[in-house]
Amino acid sequence: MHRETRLQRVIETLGLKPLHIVREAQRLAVALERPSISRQHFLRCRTGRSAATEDKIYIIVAAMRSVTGLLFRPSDLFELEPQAGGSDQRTDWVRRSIVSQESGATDRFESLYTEYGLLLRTIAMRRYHVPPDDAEALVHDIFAAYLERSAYVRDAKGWLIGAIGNASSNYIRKRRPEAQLLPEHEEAIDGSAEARIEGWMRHVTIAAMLSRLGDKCRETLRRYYLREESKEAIAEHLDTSPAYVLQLLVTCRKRAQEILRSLSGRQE
Amino acid sequence: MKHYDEEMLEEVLRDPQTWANVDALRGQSARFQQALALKARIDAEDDAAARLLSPLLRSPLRFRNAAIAHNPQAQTAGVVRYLCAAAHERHEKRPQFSLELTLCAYDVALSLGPETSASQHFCMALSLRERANALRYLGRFTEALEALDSAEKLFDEAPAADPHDIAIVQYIRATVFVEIDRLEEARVASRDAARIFRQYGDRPRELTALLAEATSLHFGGRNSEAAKVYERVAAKAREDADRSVLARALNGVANACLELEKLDEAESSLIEALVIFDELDLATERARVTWSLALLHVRRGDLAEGATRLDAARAELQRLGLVNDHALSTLDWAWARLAVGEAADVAEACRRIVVRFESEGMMKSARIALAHLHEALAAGTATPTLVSEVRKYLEFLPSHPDARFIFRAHL
Repeated sequence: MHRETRLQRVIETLGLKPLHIVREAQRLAVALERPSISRQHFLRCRTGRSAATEDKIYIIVAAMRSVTGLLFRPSDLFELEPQAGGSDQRTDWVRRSIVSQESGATDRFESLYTEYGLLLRTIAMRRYHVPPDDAEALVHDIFAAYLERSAYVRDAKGWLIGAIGNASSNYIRKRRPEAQLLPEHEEAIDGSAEARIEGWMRHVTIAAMLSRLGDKCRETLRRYYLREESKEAIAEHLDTSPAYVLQLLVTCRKRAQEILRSLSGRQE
Repeated sequence: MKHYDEEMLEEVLRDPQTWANVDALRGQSARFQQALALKARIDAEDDAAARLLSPLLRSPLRFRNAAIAHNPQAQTAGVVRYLCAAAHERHEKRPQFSLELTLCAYDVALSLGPETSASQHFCMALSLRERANALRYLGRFTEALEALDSAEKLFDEAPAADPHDIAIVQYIRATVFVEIDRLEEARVASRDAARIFRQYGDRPRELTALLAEATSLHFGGRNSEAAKVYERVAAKAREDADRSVLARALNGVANACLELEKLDEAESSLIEALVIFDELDLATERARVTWSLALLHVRRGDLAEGATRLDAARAELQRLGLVNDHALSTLDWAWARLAVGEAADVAEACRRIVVRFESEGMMKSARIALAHLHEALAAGTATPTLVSEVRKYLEFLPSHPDARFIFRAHL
């Protein structure tokens, strides 16, 4: 037996055709890029056979408004749990933006400095040909500027990359007034530059991963890939067997992929 | 999530630069230690500022009595940052108090010594920029522009960060230009700001600046161009799932389409905007869109339905305390009622109209225009044209504060 839901009551009271609502919901879902709803699911929601999810409530409310022109609220159509309240949003915002009280804020800044710092230095050196020492100084100044502005910088990565571009261009103009800035140095980052930066970012992420790996893994990978030492030579150095070295390489690569996954997830 | 396949990983592992990067990451430089020390100093300053100021910000009187600018403990960049952020949060609801906070922030910035975590010029610039924002909300546009000019000069010091800071100045300037009808300057300033925000990957601000550009085009009567910019913003906001900007852009599309007599497109944009404003619980925006939807019925010639919806819309605007919007929507409703020959209640409703302008001069001008209307309504000679002229006059009074009301039908 079905219980009468608010949605069903409204539909009956206004004499609406469920199919019209579903069609409108499907049209709005496409336009809003939100999950759509099927006729069957809509039927289950209005007869109370299944509880509507937040997405379904959203799209049904939108469709009901669109079909009737009436300003329904979700609670007019669905039985919703009261919102948990209590906190002063404004105060929370000021605290969040101004006071770094959350635990780990310094850790996050350390990661930002070490990982993005490397990327920024790479951009300054490879894209603008700033000498390494000066590139490091520019990066440091940018992080100092970032710290002063962190309350209103919304996308740290974008801001830092924009800032290094500007600081490097400025550096070139000051140090080598005779040198022309190349078109790729000017204005917004175009597609190819973005792809290059993505490539550098990948390198930097892998470097960050390697720096987090245990000493034994890191040095084994360095010997095997960079120095192209044979597994026998590595085995001798580690005072173990070549078979163990092979096993070690498999384990280290697996661990490396795990760290990479966590690093990539954090950056996104 | 990015995927690192084995082949690509092995290729990078063979690259000497990768291992040079690893060594650089593992060896923490002196500069890194300096950055950490600066962060610790900023955190300590911000904590102290929050402890000192948060109890005082509960009331303007309490804040005033604390005389923060003269408190030696408050002479830090952290206090300037906190006051600016607190002002930023209050512009819309308490602009007078937010102005006071920015003036105090500037006084504190002036007395900063060399030991603080940010430069004196930067702190002065920050407080001036926020002051301009407060002045903008108070309708003191000339002073706002002066504050922005001063802020821009003071920001002009750190090459890495200033373009972004100055772009924020430019964006605020653009919004002021829109208010005072300097539309071409508004368009240029907002476009410049959007370009820099894009360079800094600041997508939300980029879209907001583009919205300002579209608004300047719309107010300048360039509605086709305005609609295109609004649609571009809507597409980007949809991509970013930024519902707030999407709803504002859709609302803009609708306004431009209304002027272009594309009523179906306007309606569909308004509906979508309404859904989103509703979901975001932005009651004032929702009420304004409902008003626009009601006007759409009027534009389609469905005056009776339009009047019914306008009546509901104006009641909601009044409930929300949107005094001037309530006045304008009441005049829209009065127009529709007079147009269908139903003048009952119109005089009474118009008598209850209240408008609020910052200057006494504007208040006087508005009262004169409304008196014309009241007189005509009382005499039974009011026409939809007169209502429309009064509405237009009140709507444009903030951007033309010296204009006098002249009823063109009498000329």
